[in-house]
Amino acid sequence: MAGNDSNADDPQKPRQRLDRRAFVTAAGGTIATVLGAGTIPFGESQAATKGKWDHEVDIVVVGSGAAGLSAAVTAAGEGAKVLVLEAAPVAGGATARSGGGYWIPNNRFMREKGLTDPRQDAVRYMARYSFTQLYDPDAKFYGVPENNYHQMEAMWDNAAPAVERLEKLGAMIYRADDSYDYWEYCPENKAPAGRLVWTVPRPNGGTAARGGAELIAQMKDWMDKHGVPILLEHRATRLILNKKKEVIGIEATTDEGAKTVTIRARKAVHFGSGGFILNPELRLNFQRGPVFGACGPMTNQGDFVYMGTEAGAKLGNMQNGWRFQLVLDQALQSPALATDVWGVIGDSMVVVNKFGKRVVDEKRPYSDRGEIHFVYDPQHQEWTNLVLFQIFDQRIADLSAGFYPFPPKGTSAPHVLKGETMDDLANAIAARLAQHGGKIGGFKLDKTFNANLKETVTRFNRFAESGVDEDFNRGGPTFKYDAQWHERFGGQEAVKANDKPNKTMYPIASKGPYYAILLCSGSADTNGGPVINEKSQVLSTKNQVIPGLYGAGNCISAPSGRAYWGGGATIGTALTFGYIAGMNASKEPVKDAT
Amino acid sequence: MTNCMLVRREVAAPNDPTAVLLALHGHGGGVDQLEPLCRVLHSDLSLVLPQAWRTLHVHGMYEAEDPGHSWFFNFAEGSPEPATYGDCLMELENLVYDIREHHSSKVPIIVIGIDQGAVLALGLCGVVPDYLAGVAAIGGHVPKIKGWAPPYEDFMGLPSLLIRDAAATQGSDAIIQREMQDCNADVTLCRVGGVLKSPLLAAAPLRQWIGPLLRAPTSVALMRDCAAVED
Repeated sequence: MAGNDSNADDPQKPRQRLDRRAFVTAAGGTIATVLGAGTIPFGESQAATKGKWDHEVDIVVVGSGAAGLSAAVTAAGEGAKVLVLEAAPVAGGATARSGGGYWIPNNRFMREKGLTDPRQDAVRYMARYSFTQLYDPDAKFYGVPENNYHQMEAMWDNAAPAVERLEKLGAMIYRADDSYDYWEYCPENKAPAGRLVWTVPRPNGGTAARGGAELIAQMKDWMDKHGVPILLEHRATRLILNKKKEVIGIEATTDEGAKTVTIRARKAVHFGSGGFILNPELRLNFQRGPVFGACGPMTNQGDFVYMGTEAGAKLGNMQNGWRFQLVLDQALQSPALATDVWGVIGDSMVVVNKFGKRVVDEKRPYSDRGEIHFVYDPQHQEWTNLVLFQIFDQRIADLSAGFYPFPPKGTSAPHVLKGETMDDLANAIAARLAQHGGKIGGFKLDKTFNANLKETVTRFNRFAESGVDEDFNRGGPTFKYDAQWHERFGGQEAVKANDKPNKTMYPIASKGPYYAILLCSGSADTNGGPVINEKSQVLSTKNQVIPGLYGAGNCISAPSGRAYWGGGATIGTALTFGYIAGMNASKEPVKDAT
Repeated sequence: MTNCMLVRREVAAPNDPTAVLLALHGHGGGVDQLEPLCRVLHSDLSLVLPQAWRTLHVHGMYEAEDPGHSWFFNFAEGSPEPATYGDCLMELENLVYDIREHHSSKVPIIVIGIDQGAVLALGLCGVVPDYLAGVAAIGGHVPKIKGWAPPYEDFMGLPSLLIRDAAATQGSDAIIQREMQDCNADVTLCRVGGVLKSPLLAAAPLRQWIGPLLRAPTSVALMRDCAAVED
């Protein structure tokens, strides 16, 4: 493993001939405001002027990720005529790019194993994790907002029935797992392992689709067989309202915006259209700290924020997202397509800040770990942990070679910095930060970094020998997640080679070479937007239901608030509230068309 | 100094390189996939073997069987997802500039790709045809991204070897050949059964095609050595 310098602004290099914007546009990455997203009265729509709709169905679903297709399959299974619009040239949204796990409390595998997951304890766990600053076990609704409380109840009540219904229909195959939740030791969490389930590949599904892509493929297969179409490259732009302000249809653009299509939704329009992580304006204005990148589709532009607010929807949870960490160099190069650092690999490894000090148990879940970047320093007017530094030695670089973000053996990796001594490594880090310059606000190492880093390593090595991390309890007995996912992310070889009492820690070598990877904040997507109720109906600023409008997934105000309840909480809530939307929307009355 | 963030393995030729071979793995492959093939082509080739960013592991976590890496999302057969495809193509464009920076302009750059790597190799024909001495695609297709056209529609007579797996690509051979010819590529087409699963089967046609592209004539002795390795 050897680090290379990176200089994206090197004047010696030929000017790049390819322009990323063309690919982003082709992938559906146009910002919604450019398309004039909002609402329109029926009388002003093309359906009125042309005297006909281009399509007419019971339910229009916007977006083809888990939140959309769960609703589409459920509603079609209830007998509704459904049509799905997808802005991108491929189906699947963020789900298709994910691992494809979903967090399902009280799922059938848990019941079969005799693992009890009591409803009220699960709700208390969700409430406490989502709103740690509000939680009061003795207060009504445990002190959390009433609407969120009811959503959490709905999550427990509907998550297992949702996936069981989809399974029964033949639209999903899934399996059990023994993964720990992301707050496994929370006193309210009475079922800390077993809620995560995974998609199982179809027997004859080939190798192209895995994880979330396979989940999408299974639901899409079912839809193909049952005549539920997905119109690709159809970007929903305007909700069509009747005189009663009910949602009765939608306008979409296609052919690169050249053509407008109107679709009548006799009963409802459901949104599962993704968050706004790739919309720089919304991200800057609503996210509560610097987020460098994401891994979702280009269509995560916040379309529903614009259409929903024009329809009168109340917004919520706009400051939050499904957090993780990214490799800074990759995120700066390709902010929309960075690869997530799900686990910080290694035992002879620490993560330090600009002062050379550890700031977190490096083995905690990516979601909570991702929040550590949002620490603001009023003394120096900067985000102290804007960039963190993963420091490791040759031993673990070899043992976990090839486990991202460690490169395979015998390769060079531009994102890995190298130094023969800790001082050399610090110099390499300083030089790399200087190269990034304005892209990171001139963020620099503090002058105490070198001395503190050596002290940090000495102190960590003592912890590694004793097995007890006195500062952050890394891999401690209460943190069962740490050891479980340490092995999954970093490989068994590294665990077998560790003869110390705590497998997540091993002394960092006294001699180099040493390596560093620069880490920054990222999000799979945001999870704020129009607020829904426990029936997945979108609520207005007056807390009234907007008739005919439903939502689920990352485009709405997440029922989970700030929290990532456990692995698969993203898709779990998307599937569940998509299912709820599908069930309820299919029972809606037909609305007046004008 | 690099603008390309891809992880890569670089194998220097023991003597002056006769060419630099940029080898692009396929869907589910990795940095090791094409190295054996490249090594039997000629002993004085420098190799650059980049690896895609995207692991096919579920969240990158340990699995008994390593499913490899993927360059771009390809949920529908034959149509790369534009953003991920474009991203990789941009990285590879930068990698070609890196290679040219490190080697004299007398050292030809030849791209070999398999499966998804072949799609990217053929994509590079429209981006940096003036930097390349030849492109060999094992499988793959000419990528089409709606609303995007490559910077170069004239491939400047670029020697292009299309190695088609007789079983896997039947029916598309004539199409891809015509598409490349329409772009003024100097196309050689050959069919090798099973080559997508066993890339080493491409060694013989590749060696024959690559010979005239190398900087110095291939010596008989070296060819014999390479053949022995393959046998």
